[in-house]
Amino acid sequence: MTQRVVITGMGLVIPHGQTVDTVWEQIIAGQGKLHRLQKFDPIDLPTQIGGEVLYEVDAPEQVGPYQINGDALAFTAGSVQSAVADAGLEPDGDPLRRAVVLATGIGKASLEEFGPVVVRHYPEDTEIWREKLRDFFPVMQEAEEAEKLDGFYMDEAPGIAAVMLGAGQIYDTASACASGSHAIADAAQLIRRGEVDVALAGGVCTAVNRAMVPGFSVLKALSQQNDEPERASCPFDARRNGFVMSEGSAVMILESLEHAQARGANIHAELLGFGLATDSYRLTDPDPEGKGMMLSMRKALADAGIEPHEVDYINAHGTSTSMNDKAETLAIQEVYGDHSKTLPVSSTKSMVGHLIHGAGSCEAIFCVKAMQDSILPPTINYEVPDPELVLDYIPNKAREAEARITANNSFGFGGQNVCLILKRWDG
Amino acid sequence: MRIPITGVGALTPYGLGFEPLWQAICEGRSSITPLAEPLDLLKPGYGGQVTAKWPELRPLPGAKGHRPLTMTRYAYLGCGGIGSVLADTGIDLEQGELERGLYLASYCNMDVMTKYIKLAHVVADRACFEEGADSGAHKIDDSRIAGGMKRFTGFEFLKLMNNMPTAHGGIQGACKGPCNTFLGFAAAGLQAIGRAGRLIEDGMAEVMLTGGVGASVADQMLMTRGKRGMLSSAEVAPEAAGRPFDKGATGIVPGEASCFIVLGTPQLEEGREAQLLGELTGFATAFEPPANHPGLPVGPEMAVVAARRAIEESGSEPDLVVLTGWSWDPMDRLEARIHAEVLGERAGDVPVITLAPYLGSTEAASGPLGVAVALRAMREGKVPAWPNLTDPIDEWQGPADGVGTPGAMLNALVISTSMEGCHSALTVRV
Repeated sequence: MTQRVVITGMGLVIPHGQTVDTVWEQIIAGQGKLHRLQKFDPIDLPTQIGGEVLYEVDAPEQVGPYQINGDALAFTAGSVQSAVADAGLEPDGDPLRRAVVLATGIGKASLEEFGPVVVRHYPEDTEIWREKLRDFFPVMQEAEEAEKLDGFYMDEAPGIAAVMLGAGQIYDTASACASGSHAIADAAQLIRRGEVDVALAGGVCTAVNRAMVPGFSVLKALSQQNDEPERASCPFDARRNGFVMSEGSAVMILESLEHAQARGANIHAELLGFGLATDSYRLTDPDPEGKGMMLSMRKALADAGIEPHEVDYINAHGTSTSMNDKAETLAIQEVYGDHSKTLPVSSTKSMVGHLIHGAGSCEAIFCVKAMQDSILPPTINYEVPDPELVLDYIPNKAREAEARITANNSFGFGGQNVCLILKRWDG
Repeated sequence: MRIPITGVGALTPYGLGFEPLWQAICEGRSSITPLAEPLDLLKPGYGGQVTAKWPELRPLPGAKGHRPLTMTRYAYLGCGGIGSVLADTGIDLEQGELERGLYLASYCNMDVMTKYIKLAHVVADRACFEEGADSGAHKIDDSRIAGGMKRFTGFEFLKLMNNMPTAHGGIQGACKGPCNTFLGFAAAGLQAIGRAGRLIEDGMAEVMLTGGVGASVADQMLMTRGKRGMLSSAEVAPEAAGRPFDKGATGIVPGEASCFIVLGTPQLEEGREAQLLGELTGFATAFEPPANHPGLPVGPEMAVVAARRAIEESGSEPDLVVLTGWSWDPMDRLEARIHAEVLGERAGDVPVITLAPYLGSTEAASGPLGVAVALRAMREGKVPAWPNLTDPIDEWQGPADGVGTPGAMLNALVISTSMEGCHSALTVRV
């Protein structure tokens, strides 16, 4: 028998804060948290803005065998701690009935990791050429710091979450900007099938660093509106010129309805369905006709067993890039038909920026809060309408409205698309 | 679970496709050879390296549009393996099979370090290395970053995103269905196949390309693993270095490969008269945190649980077992205990395959390679001989020579273990 999937815990660490309610208050107040970067000096870079977690994250220093050092692990531990507490779970019971599906995407290795090692051995301010690199290799293999160079992955993050939840199955996954939602969909499948009773799912991203901000800036994917960072993320606006990178973590506890009710859990919402589809178009650009996006939305609606007109709100992927926002608008119009003319759609990336691997799970949390509080978050910085983009984007101010069913769109670099359908829990 | 397997493809040091690999291991030929510069300067100085160049891969299905310079080694190897399996299964990429997806495992997606080392050299703050400076102080001179970035294109960092091997492969395979990347563990290869099978079982995809990629013949991997004392000795002859479960094993032998299979719904595959290589019949994964990090699994229990669950789902005891075979003492002892507990009294009778003596450590590709080899071994009734198992470790309860005397083989169990404590098991039937 297919199990119904409900959400019983939520946790996040994003620039706005670390508690869901505090963050939500700021989101419905339309408060952005994007600024000139402070963790490093972005002097002379084309993009000098982003979203950063500038407060001290409330997270344990040690989780089982894992030492919590660095932002990525602190964000993970902080958000997981909140979600597990919110769900009222303890790390006990049969670990094989609990799973973690965590999207980690971009790892912890950075210029800070090995830059100093190079200079320690080659301090002179000259170019390193081929012969020197040859010399450097064996030196590096013996260097104390070599042990730290374990690359662009972080097996600790799902391990940390597993210890905190008491989970005996882990999946470390990545589908770029769709990762957080994809992890939720994967976790839901585990529960539906009865493979586990409880699953923690979401994503963590620490791409706001000295490598990735310049890198994506060179790719011309980021907004360069450095003079007004708070206005730079303007999804669906005619001024949009790129996304604004942000950092953080967002996770959910999913649970079978049967299990949640048996333990008297506080149920936030139900995950009705999900759709997974791929563009197969380009690495950097979405299909301009939004075919993959459409397919993910249609599959999600079918999986949820609902008609398009039953959806009351869409939290759009809405990156503030020219191509995404146009293709997403087209896809919504095509899938939702006449209903799209009155269907409220907003992009909370206008306030949070783009959390990349954590974006989908963060925005799924916002969908749940919108249904619980009957208030739809706005798209801020919506100032100059694009004549081609004509949906109701909830411009600039939150809107009081009952939302029984919401959809959450997430579309990744490389064309991986995920749509989640969530339903308010009315008991 | 009964999911048809209709294609196998690989890119290994033996060449493109599964056949060169099968021929080589049947002949007992190791792919472990001395490495070329600059990797020859890193211990152990040898490994199993894929030598196929782009002109060889370019004619593969769907590969024409690829730009190798936008790929890490993981993505490059992945595209070779995916092209190989597309060719093997005969999928028509022009036909819109909307539900075809790709589940790919990639241990990580690290690029070669050379270019980043140069960048790091440019941007590092030299002041903090002057005598008397606090070594814990600021290490990067931010004013140098913009200058250092001038030699980089946008793709240099985009290609480091961990989903990029899947993104390239999804485009290559004209996939419109679910695509995802499984990371971080050697066991991720079987996770990808297992979850792909579940998607088909649940009606969420019709055809799934699935498998894994490993690329541990790389500067960063060699540096890290070398420093941690995990690599095989430079004093050993390359072809003798890969010796899992043998007392003479000195450490992990670097290797690289990719391997993919095609899973399809029974109805679809019957309709297009696809070749039927076997069936996926069971899958399970289990995790227990290591005692220390980085460290080693606490014990065999969770891997045993995963294996028993997969066997239970398949409904049949295995006639053939495939093990990771680390050739590194602590993991070999662990895996030998897992094998002994799962097989029990049959441990000494059931033939075992491990590809590590031939290929070295192929990370997330090792599980999928094991699946492919098991299918072929069962179909031909032939278990390739094991080199280098001359003095088994005390925990080894399998056949003395690894192979034993194979009888009829219809069901195989593939076990993938990982240092991080995540283990997976998968069963296939012919």
